[in-house]
Amino acid sequence: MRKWITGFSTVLAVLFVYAFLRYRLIDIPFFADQVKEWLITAGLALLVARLTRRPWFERINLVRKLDLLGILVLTISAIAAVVPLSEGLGVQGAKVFRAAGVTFFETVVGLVILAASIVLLLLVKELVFIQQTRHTKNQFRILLAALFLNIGFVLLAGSGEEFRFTGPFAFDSPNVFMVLLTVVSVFLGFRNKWIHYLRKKSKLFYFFAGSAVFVFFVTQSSSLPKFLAPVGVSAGTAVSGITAVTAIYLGMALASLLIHLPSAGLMDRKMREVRSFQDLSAVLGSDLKKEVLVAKIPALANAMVEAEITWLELMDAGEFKVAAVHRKVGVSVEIPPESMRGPCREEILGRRETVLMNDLSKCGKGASRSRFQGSLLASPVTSQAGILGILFAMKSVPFGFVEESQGLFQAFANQAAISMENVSLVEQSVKRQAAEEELRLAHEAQMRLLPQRMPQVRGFDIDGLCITANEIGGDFYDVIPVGSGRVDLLIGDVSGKGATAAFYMAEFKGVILTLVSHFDSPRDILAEMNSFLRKQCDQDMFLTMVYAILHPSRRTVRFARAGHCPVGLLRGQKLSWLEPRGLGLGLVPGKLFKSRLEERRLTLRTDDVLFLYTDGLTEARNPAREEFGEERLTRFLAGSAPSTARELVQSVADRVEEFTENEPRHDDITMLSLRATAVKKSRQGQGEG
Amino acid sequence: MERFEIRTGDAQAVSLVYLKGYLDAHTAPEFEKTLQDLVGGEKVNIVVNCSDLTYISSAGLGVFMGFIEDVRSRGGDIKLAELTEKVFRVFDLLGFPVLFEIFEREADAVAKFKKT
Repeated sequence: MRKWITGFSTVLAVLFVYAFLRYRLIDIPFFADQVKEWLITAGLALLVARLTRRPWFERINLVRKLDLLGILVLTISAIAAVVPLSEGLGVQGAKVFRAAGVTFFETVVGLVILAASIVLLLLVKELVFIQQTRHTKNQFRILLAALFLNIGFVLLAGSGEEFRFTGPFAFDSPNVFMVLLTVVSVFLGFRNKWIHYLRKKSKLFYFFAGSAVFVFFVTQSSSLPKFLAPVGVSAGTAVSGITAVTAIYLGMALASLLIHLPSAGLMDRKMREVRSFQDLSAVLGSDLKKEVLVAKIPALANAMVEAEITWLELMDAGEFKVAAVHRKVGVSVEIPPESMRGPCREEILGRRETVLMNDLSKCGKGASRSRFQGSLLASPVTSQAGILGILFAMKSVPFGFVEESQGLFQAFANQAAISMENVSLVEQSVKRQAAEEELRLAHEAQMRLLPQRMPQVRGFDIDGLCITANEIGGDFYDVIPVGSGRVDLLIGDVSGKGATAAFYMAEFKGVILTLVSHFDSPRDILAEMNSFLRKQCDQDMFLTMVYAILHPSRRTVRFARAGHCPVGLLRGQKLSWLEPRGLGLGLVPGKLFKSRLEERRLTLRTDDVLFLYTDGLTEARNPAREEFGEERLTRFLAGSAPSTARELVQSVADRVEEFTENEPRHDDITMLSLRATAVKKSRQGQGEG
Repeated sequence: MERFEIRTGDAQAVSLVYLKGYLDAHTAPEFEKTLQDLVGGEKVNIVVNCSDLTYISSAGLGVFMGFIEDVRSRGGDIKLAELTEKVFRVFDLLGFPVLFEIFEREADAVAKFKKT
């Protein structure tokens, strides 16, 4: 900015001194004048070429540009109309200072008009370049060339006194370049695409206001070049050229506006349609809830086609049901309207494309013919999966919709379908996340129910292991020291999977902890558990369990099996499976259960190992779909000589993992091992009791 | 995953259900639905043929438990037939033979209904 002010001031000072000398004091030779004019021409040409190279009004919108143009034109015209020119420039006898003042003032006015003209040219260029084509740039270059060639022509053609003061300005003596300038201006005058973007109101305003300004401008512009006398003939010619270009462009723009006025409303509607379509995409894209989205669709559709009622029917269990309605204020029609229940509806549903019914009273035949006067637009909302619903828009007058709305309405319906599908996908993924979260919590619960630390039991070594499946398998085990001289061991498997199984596990753990203090035989405890399950749990829910009570000092163990896998006893290199009778818990009433439940008693010798497991172990499968099975388990256990309980369960786990390779686990694998270790003063067992 | 298939048939007022493949927590609902439909239609004399059943999990067993009382209270029964050794082992461990009549041949199971 500072640069421009400095430049302007310097030019002003030089011009002022020159004009003052020339008018008031000395007779400057024609040659010097010519040099000055060519210098100014060259300077102007450079300035304009440079200024027009880049856009200046990018940041302001179209309407502001037009306003600026109007104000500028008005200002220039007003200056021309109001500011007096000192007709006799060579005022003889006037005081030197007064003459200097007048000269200075006129030089300033001249420069302001010149600057304003250049800005005008830039503004016109901006308008011309809206939606430019390949030729726009070249045409504008030709315009600039014609502008300056015209100046050159005037400078060469002019001579003597006449030239010095009034000058043969462009429009006083037509020449070939001026004709060229006019022709190019007319060409550029057709470049007024911006008119389309004006709203109806703006169009009206700019037409009337613009016409007034234009007339004022045309009547005043002819005197404009005279103001440039102190600056020079070249500048005057430039201004007259620019005003000519502006006048032609404005005149043609006004004519074009006039032509567009009748269709202004239509254009507005189109713009509104496009805008509401864009709105829709934005709004639809931002909503994650299906209900919210569905509720918004009719309102947005309505903004686009301006119907009285718009509604969306969605397919629900094989039937179309109204999902959302939008009414114009004051419209109170039941949805779907009566007129839409009869043959019209069938006609629409039958066609799987956008339907425009200009007169609803025409549809149907004979008695079933609709009596409703009105028009309707209907578009199917379809996804890849099929029809989701139908979007309707209705007006109470026949021929209420325009043909072109049909395509847009369908495009809108398609967009709505995509958005609805997106929302469904998002909802599904949210549900999946919730399920995964539930699973994670269930896993956590399961792990917490397992003993965190194994109790130290004199003369025994106990350890367990639970390898969980992706889904909760419902396995659990526990080792509970009960007072002195008793340790309870149990392993169980809840039927079913997932969070429900985990929930039952937690409940059973609580029940068992209560029972241990009241009963001292595995059979009684299991019988009580059975009663609890019968009373409290679902019919299809059951539980298998091995319950063992160890008396470390006596080195005896009593156990019962409630429908669970057999108990392995490893003695030396010999493995035997102990399978006392017993039904799963929760299957049969108490009496029957207890009568079928057998309790075993064992006396353990040093290095004897009891091995408890769940069916997840024997049912673990390899990629060839073979099960690990009891046989493999038997062989492995019989061949093992574990030094600790931990080593045993871990080695079995490793063996199973080796067997299953990378096959995913379907069920938990749980093991519990009890090993009798040597103790001083220990009584040696006498074998099975 | 092995497929699970279920097929139903009729043999003189006895409904036959054929299970095939892998009956676990994922496929149990299908079996449940089949039994639900039978009981809902007052078809309570049911023989479940397990000759092609390769695996049954606790959830699959639970389906039998979920219906047996209802079926018996309506005067019917669920009988099992043609179990493979492996599947029988699972039923046996759990003590199912106490609860359900298990037959080696389907015809025997159907005949048993006739007698009673």
